Amino acid sequence: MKIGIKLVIVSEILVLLTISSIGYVALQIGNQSIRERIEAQLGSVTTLKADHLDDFIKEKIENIISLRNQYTHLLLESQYTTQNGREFLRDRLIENSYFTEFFILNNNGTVQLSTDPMQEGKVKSNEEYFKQGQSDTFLQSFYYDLSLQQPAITIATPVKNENNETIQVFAGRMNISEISEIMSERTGLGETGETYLINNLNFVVTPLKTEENTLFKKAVYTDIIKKGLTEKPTNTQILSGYLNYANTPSIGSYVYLSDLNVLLITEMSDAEASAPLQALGNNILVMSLLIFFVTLVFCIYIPQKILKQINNLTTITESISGGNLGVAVDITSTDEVGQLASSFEKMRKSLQTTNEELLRTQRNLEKKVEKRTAELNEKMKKLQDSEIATLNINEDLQRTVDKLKETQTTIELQNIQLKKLDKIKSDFLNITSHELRTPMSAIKGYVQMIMKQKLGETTEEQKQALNVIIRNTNRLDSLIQDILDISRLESGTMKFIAEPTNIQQMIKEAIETTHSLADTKKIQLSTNIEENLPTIVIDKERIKQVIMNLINNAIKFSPNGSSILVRVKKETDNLLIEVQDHGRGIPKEHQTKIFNTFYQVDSGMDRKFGGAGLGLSIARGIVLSHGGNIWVESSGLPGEGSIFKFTLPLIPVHDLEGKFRDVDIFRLKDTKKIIENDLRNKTVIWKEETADKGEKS
Amino acid sequence: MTKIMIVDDETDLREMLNIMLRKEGFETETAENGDDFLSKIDGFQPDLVTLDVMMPGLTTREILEKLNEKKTKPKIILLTVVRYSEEEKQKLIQRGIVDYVTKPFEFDHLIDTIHKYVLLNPVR
Repeated sequence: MKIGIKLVIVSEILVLLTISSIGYVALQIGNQSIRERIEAQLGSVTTLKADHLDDFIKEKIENIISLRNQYTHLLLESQYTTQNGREFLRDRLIENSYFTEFFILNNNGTVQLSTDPMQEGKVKSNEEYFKQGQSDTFLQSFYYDLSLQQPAITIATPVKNENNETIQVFAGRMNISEISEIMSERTGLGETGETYLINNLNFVVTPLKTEENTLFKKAVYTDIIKKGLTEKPTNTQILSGYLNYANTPSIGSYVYLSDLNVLLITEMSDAEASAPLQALGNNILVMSLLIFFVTLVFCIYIPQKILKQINNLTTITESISGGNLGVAVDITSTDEVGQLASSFEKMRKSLQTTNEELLRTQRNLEKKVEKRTAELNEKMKKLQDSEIATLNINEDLQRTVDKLKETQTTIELQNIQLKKLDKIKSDFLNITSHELRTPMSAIKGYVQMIMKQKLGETTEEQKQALNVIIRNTNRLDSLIQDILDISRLESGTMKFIAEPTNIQQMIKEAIETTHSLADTKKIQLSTNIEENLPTIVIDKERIKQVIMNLINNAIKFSPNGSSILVRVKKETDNLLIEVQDHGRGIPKEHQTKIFNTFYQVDSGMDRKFGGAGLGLSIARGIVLSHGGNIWVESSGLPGEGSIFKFTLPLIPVHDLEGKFRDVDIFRLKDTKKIIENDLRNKTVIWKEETADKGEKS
Repeated sequence: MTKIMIVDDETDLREMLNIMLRKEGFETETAENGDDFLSKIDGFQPDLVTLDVMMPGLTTREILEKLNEKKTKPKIILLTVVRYSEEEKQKLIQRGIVDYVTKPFEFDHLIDTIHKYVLLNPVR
């Protein structure tokens, strides 16, 4: 559904709801007030008429009483004659035109005198006014006088003598036209309003507006008359919604006039009574319709304007979605629609720009694609031309690949052979070690058994000889050990067992082992070890071997009674271990050479101490394998001694075995180069050593 | 009496150990290689064996594998020339080897090591 229609429906529903509520309330209030006004109006007319009638009747009674008194006076005079009386009545009738007849009844009810000579002599003894009038003033209202053949009201009053005895009855007959006139007077009543009197026998006694000649001929039984004659209210009452004598729905007011014994009714038609209400309803309806149509017009007109703009925008949107970006949005209003339009216009412009750019790019791309396609075609042609040549090259390549495969096979075979050689080398060393040591074991075993006298008593001389054998066996064993170590280091088959090591503990053990040797020369061994050194991962036994070697050397070359200091401190990445002696020192020219295999500074001196010149070489190999460095510092002057120093990295260097392959244990290359190389290759990868290696034969 | 079996291909060493252990009060038996050892073991039922790691014929590993098929389960001490790391020692223990002694060994060290695993006169 379109927005316009929706808006119209919603607005109209709202307007109708509002108007009908207001209208309903207004009608209710109007109805109430109009009804009240009508009732008040009817009531007041009724009261007014009743008062008017009352006054009228009272005045007439007074008139009669006054006339009677005059008549009595005349009668009691001595010169009274019938003629006089008749003249008196006639004169009075002329003065009181309301009355149609004055007459005198005697105590028998016979008309004695009358202004109407036709009446004299007639007997009225059965008339009520005669019966009642003998004792007191009496008004007989609205009776149908049979003798007169017309409705009448007669007032009668007794004429008394000096003894207060009723001697005659004075009566005045009144024309009801006067009352009819009072009733017909329609002051304060509308078109249909009227007032009439009903006697106790339901007869209409005053003329009705719409019907003629009804007096005392029409008995009426409308609701209001029934009600009024039953209740006989002395106060004005209201009845509405009944049908009157002419079957017209009416509203009426009524009161019972006890003096006249009649019911006074004032009534008007419902139609007239509710005419103002009808008018009010009509006005509301007209106003409602007016508002409805005005709203309708606004509801149609205003959205129409907005919808026109939206439709305009829709048309442009469709145009744009159809690909036409050239249509400008022409809406200039400043409301929300205008804002929408202006932002849409911005979007359209940006789309247009983007589209143009895209088109440009597309054209460029197409050109490039064409160019590339052309180039490709050219290349394809060239490729096709060179296909034959390529086939030839392929054959060449195939041949080369075949050759390469052959070479690879050769290399693989060589590799296997090399590995075999490596194993042979390792096995050779293991076997050599085993073969050299097994006889040593036998020798040592027997010697020790003899020493322990397990094989019989031994003399002191024999014991001395056995000690020599033991010492030399140990030396031989040590030499074999050194040679095997050198061989392993050189061949790269030295086996290292890495474990977390407490340096302080390890140095303590090394010193304990060398203590007895130091004691023989009274040399003092002391340590200076930094506290809280970290645990480092090394081959504890091998490093201990290095330290013991350095201490042993220091003991060897120190004079008796001197001191040796072992110092350990932590540097940034290393532990620095120093062994300081106070021996004769090492000349500068020897300081690097002493780490060479079989190198001895002084052959004679070294021989004396039983060294083969292998210890420092092995120490160097072990330290370098750990990723450290070893060197000596000495002035070379006798007595100043020397400091052997080596470092161990704090971060473990793995694959110690692999590291050894780079160590030129025999120092065949330039020393400087080796050191640089060693420093460069500090970090290598750890390789797991299995137990099987040692077991294999 | 505690029984020790000496397995070594070197006659002199084998005899030396034989004399040494008998002097120490053990009942001994010798074998000169793996096959010899395996053929004699169920007959002699040793409590402990000193086993040379490098002998002609069967390798140490082969000997240990075949030993699994035998009824007798002696404690074995290896006589070797190499050092073992902790990891390697664990592997050896898994194969039934309780300890090792490096050649050339000191008299006292060997005897002490043996005494760690057997009593001189075990209560059967």
